[in-house]
Amino acid sequence: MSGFQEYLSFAKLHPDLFVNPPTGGFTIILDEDEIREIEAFMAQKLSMRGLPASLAQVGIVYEDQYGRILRDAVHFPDGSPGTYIRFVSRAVGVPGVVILPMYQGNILLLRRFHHATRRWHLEIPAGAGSAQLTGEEAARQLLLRDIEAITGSLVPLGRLDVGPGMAADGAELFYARLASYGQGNRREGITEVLCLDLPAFERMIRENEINDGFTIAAYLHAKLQGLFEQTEQ
Amino acid sequence: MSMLEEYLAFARQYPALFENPAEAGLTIILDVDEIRRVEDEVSQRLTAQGFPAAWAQVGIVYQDQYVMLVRDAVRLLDGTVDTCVRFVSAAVQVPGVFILPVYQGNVLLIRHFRHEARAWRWEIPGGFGMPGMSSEENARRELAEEIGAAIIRLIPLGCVYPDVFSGADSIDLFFAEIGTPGAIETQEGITEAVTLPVQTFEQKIRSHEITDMVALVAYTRAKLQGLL
Repeated sequence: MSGFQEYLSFAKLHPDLFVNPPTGGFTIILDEDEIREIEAFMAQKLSMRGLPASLAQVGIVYEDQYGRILRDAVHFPDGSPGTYIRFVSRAVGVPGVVILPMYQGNILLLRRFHHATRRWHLEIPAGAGSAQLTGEEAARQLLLRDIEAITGSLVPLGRLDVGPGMAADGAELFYARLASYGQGNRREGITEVLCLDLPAFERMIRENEINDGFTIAAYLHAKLQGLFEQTEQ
Repeated sequence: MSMLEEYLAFARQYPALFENPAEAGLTIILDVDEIRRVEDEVSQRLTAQGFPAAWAQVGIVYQDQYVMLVRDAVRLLDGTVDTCVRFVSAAVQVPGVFILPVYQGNVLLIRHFRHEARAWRWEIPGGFGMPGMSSEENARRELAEEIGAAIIRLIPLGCVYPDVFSGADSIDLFFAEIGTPGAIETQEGITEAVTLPVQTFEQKIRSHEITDMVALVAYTRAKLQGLL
């Protein structure tokens, strides 16, 4: 099967990824003749900018064990043609998990090295979900793997659009009260587990020492749901 | 130039993207012979899982005018080897910019069509940084382009990494007091701009009507800095 035919089959298999809502968005074109016209138009445009014409090719333009990059043919809101890329994770239907771990009224923060940024970050546990587990089960398992934690209660904090590792179905956020925790998992790049009171944690967000988006989003939801006030009582 | 040669040249040009700090436990391998050994080992593993051996190839494995995908050979803490992929913006090491705009005490949000989600989201304005411009200049440009607004006061809110698991790039955040908004940039999939009192904005975060992570982070920083 050619890359292009594979793309059309993928579109048939995942119609929700190719939804065309009413006006104002970017309409995906799946008609083969129209796609060819858009590719020719884009190839000319790219060549004029000194870029390879092959960057106009519609289809599954990259694939590995984690996901695919799709290049779709689209009509922009004013009707003009173009192409648009997006990453689609293989784990369709499996959101990631992000957990704000609390121990005796304090927040646990990991010092963790990430390959993608080649830096250490101060962050809360996060990772991929699993098709075999519920979000809560995945959260408990992740806490055990990352910081040897035994989780007492878990409070769902809702969802984020984007999940760790570009998880297609976003992430489920949780607030966890831990019964115990241990060492950070060195294999996961975790070199330290910090136990901070709320003012220290907030200062680190304010002063840019915490710059992980998942951590700050989970904190905000817990704050707006009044969970820190309950802890303090 | 072969894919590997191109990759090694890229590594020499951007050493910060290939740093191997002590204790990191995830060392990038740049020695050609070692890379070849890692590729062989990983390709055997992939084949055993029914995947193409080509997915073990180290290099810049995808590249277009916006983004590149880099596959590195790495050594883990226990000595085992693997390959890891990461997204790097085509404008290498130029941070994106997003701005929390406040007009007459109310937060301004745009309704933006997100191609990857095939749905509209309530977001704050922003986008890629243009090389050669400072983040402040990029913030002014983005606000002018997306909502036709001039900035009265611009305050940095620090940076955020939207996905430390897959992307090398950070975003610089700003708080902006703006003048009267003008025309919105419909061509970029923006259909509407609304201004909301802070309480309503918070309520919409709580009820998950606002799910844009960048908006949540900018709001949190602005709140903790006493700007709202």
